[in-house]
Amino acid sequence: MSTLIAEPLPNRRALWFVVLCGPVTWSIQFLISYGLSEALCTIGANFTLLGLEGINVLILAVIILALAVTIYGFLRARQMWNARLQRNDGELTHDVPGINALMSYAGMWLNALFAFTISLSGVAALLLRPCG
Amino acid sequence: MASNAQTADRFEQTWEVKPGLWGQLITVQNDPIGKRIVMTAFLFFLLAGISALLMRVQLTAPDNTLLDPAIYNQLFTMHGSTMMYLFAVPFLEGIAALMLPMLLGTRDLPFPRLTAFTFWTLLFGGALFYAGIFIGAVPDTGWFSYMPLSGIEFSPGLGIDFFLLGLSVAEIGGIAAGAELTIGIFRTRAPGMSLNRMPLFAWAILVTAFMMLFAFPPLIIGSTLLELDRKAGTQFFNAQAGGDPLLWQHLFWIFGHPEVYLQFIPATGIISMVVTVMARRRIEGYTLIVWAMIATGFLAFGLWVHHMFTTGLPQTGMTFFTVASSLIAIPSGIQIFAWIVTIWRGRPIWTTSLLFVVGFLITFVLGGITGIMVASAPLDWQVHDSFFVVAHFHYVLIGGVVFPIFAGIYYWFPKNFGKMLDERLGKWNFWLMFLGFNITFFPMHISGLLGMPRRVYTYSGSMGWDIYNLLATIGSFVLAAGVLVFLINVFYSLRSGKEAGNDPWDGDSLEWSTESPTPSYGYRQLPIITSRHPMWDQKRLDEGSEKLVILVKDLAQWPQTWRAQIVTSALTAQPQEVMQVAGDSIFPLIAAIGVFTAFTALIFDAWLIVAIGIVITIIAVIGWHAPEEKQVVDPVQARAFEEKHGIPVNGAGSDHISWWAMLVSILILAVLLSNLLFGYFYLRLDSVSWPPAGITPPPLTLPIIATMILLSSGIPAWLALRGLRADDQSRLKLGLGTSLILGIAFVALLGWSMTQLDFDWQSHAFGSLFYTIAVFYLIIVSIGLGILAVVLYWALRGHYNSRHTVAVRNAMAYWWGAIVMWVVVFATIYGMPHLT
Repeated sequence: MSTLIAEPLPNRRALWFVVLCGPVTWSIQFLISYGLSEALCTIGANFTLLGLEGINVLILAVIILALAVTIYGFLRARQMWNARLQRNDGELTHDVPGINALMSYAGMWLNALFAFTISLSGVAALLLRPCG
Repeated sequence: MASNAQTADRFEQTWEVKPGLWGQLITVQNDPIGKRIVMTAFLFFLLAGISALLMRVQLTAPDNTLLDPAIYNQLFTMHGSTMMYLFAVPFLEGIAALMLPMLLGTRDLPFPRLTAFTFWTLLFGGALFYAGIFIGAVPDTGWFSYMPLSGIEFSPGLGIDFFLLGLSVAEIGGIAAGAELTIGIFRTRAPGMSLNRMPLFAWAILVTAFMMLFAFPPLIIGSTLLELDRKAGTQFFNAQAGGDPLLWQHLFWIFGHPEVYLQFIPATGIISMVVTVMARRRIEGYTLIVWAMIATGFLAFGLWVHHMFTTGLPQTGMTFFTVASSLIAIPSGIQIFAWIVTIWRGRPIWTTSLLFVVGFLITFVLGGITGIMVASAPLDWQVHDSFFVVAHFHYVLIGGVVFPIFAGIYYWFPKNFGKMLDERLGKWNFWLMFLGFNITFFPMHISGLLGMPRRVYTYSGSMGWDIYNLLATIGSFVLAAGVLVFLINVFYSLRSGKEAGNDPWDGDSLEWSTESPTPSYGYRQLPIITSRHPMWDQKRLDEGSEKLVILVKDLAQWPQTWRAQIVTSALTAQPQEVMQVAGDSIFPLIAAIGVFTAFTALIFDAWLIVAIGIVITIIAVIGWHAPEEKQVVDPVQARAFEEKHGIPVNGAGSDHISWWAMLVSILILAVLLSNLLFGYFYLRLDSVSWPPAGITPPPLTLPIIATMILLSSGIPAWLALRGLRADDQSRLKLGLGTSLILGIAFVALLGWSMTQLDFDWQSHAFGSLFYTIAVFYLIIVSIGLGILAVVLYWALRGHYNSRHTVAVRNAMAYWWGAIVMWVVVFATIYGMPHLT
């Protein structure tokens, strides 16, 4: 049996933020990007921005913003992961990792996965004709 | 002081299922209700299996004339619909209702009457779906019922109506289960069971239940729109009148693809539980599995268009779905590796349940690989609607869902019935199913690649598909033999099986700490959790902080005459409240009968009976929530308990739970509305002019006045709550009354303005959308008015004070939610036509 250790009390909002930041940001980016491509292609919008296909530039802007948010989420999760055992004011537990570790570790992976997913969508927007 | 045995008897009397048929009809206990859901769903599984066998017999040889094409179409529709709507998700909901209270160390789920309602709607919905057979009205357009095939022009009979309305009855229960399970897992865990100690099955159900809140509404909205097209002459899917058949595909697959993961994720939860115990090792990568399930839950909503790759979509848009469809393999792969490593490094005991796990790993990985293949649009274009796809999704769904279900049955049967399932028969069961499955479905990959389309009732002998079809038919009967052995095993073991004892597997999770079968009250003394594997790590389940120990010991003594449940915090499971769980009631059954009556009457356009059904449902819902005089909480005892333990005792239901329930209800309504708005924007983009030529946009004057009235009604509601918090009863009553009057004025004005419009709902999709969204919103606001009226009634009777504010707070939350929704609705259906 493992030893009883002290688990720091969690910061609820911060923990939920790091877990949900990546998935929610991806969901919003996904809806906006898909909505933009569907809407603008349906109405036949054909324009250029910065020398590129205008629709793709708009989509890329959304993707870059979303990517920045998920990277922030990742960094925040990593910061919480590093700080997880520095305080010593919580309840007794048999198991390591505790709630802080679970949420911050999950947050790091989730943000990383969704940052990757968002990036790949950006590659598509760079290479393909939007309404082809 | 009562003895321990006397106390246990009193708990039993409070929680037990009352004797006789009446007792069975009114019980809301999670144990019998969970078993009923599981058994009903399994019955549907058998029916679906029979239809599958008939199809396979037909396809055994080329040019077979055993079944005609019409019957064949009906068979694949009934098979797919039954498996997707009536078996897999309900079965897993049933297991969740049955096992979660035990796994979470609690006495029941927070809304047991809702669980009972879920069961009755499943039973009645399934019965209604199958009832069409007796009058020759069998759906024949596939489980997806694409438009325009399922429209009134090409499917003029009642088959599609039985399909849409029967399954809608069942789905109403599904969405209710989603709300119940989400709140139950977050707020009713044993003290100390923080999220990091929660069993992986509970995590899986949590993710699934949350997904249900977003996945079922598109189906409900889609079915409603389709039924309106068929019955009321609306034009949502008619391309000649501004509609679009592809809108149906979008709405259907926004539900349909997550539906696959609604089945798969709980199944992975079962796998994690079985692997841990049978491999005699703590699961590897618990946290990885948790985040993988969360990631899967989100990504599952980003895949729906991969079912529509051949419909012609913008290239960039399509790649978003390709990316999501490919990357969802990452979280799935992580889980697969975690299970393999756990078994590899453990000391596995090769029981039947573990064999089914291994069967799952093999078949699901194969199905996953072909899934990655069809995620690529170019390959999908080649194999779309071929038997290759049939092979792929059966590897995913039978391998990924049915095998884990059987693993779960073998694992948890002893806990629920007190008897072990026979292992020798179990191994026959597994091997027959595993071999039969692979003989059936592996050849379909080849016949699909050779070009055999799905949903054809026969084929020519010159195509070279004969051998693969013959093999598939032989395999299907081997598979069926495996299921037959399982049924024999169940009956044999119930009669002559070995006694299970409390913990036959040396399990790690809480359910193994109770008797088998579990007493009706579950845990008299709630366990205190300090580990992820309490049965392995904790010598005792009653050790913890002194305060907690005293609390659980006292709760084991009081109350004994009403069903008490502890409410804990979402993250760390710290006790926050003692609530009364609803007791037995006939009203869930009556409400389900009301829904069933209304929906059945809708099929035959019997509007008077529809109205009667709605009235029955409303009366049942009122009766459902009426206070129960038999289970009144003694205020003196409650106050003494509160003072001793520092947490409130709420005999009329939990403040925390009811607040969460209100938020979830608002969320469900918002998701339903957003699906309607999606339809609006989708069709609007499809149209050159909006509104179409010849139709003037809706006038704005009256709606703007109505909007101002509605917006202003939010202020008195807010002031009423503030007044209550200051114990100012007159402000409370005045505020509620004013909001109610303003709300009624809004409905009257808006309703009247709608009668003045110069377009109807039948000529063009523009009008169909306008009226449908407006009426849907009027229903939302009318519910809000009903809530305000009830709260005002109780306020006038002096029911609320600064300590009991939750009902007023909930009413205000709903009302404000309704106001925000109106702003969006107004901007869309009134504002947009004027902008374009």
